[in-house]
Amino acid sequence: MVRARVTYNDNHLKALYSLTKTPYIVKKLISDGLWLAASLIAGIWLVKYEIRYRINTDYFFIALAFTVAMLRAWDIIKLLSSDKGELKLLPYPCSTEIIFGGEVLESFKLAENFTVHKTYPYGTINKAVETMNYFFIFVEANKAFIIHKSELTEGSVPELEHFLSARFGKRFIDKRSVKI
Amino acid sequence: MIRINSQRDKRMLLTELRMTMSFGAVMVLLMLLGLSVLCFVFCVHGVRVLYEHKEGFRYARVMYLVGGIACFFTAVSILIRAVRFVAAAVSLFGKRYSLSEELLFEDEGYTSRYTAENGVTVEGRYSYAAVKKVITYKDHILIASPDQTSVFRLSDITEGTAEELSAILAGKLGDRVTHK
Repeated sequence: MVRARVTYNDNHLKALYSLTKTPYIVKKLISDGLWLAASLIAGIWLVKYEIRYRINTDYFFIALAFTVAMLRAWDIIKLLSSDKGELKLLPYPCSTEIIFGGEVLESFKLAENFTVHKTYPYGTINKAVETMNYFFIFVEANKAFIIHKSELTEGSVPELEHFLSARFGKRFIDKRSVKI
Repeated sequence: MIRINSQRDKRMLLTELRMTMSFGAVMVLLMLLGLSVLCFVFCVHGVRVLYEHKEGFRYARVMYLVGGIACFFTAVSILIRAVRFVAAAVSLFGKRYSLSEELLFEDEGYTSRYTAENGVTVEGRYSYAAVKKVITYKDHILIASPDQTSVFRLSDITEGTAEELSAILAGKLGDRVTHK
């Protein structure tokens, strides 16, 4: 049996974001980049048109185009500089104990005013990923337990690797070379 | 102690949606769909303008082209979300939905137990301080706590009475109870 006790902090979110960010960033960059280009070109073209024909009615559209361009540029800067994406910590302090062993994965969420005990049959779990410092257990496609290897309280890292590999088969993805 | 055996079915699901959907949420959904339609209209308009003014300004052509592509991406991403939302709603209402949840209300808090169709079991023990909100609608009651939302009918009470439950909720939760 292997146990882990996890109290999520920013480092867990950063790790999960690092693991899953590429498709998210590419998707956002395409849309934001195109909007930035379109509004910049529109703004520049309107300014040229203004200068060439000396018409004073396009100021609103020039301002609008550059405002949209600025907002999109700001979005891109935020997207590229963010290390947690849109991931946020739970609004209440809690710790989660995760137990590997037997026929189901057990989790106990312990907070000040409540406790939640969940059991997941291993067949229902989406996948497990191991990186250099973390184990990610995706109980659903977009829901994961994030366990730093130092957070194991019973059992060892090789034991958990062996267990996950035996239980999950192809659903256990070895990414130990990834520095997360 | 009050014991409730709640049988959640599709009708219950509809009632739950009616209890939780706010006017603001519906308006946001409609606005997103409206935005998607606007983006598509701009795409079509852009293609038409490009075709009609083949000999026009170089910048205008580029602007319409890039703007059209940006609008297309935005519209498609919004539409994908809308389609996913509708598909989720259709699959939710299309498949057999039946969940049996047991609730126990005591002086200090309440306990909720259920087993999902995929075999995941959940048992949550919540003190009344953890409850986020309670909504009552006709003879239905919705209790939202961290990680868990329970819905039941007053007729599902198998031990204790509706009056006792109302007294507990009013006494322990006060202004967190909303009557719809």
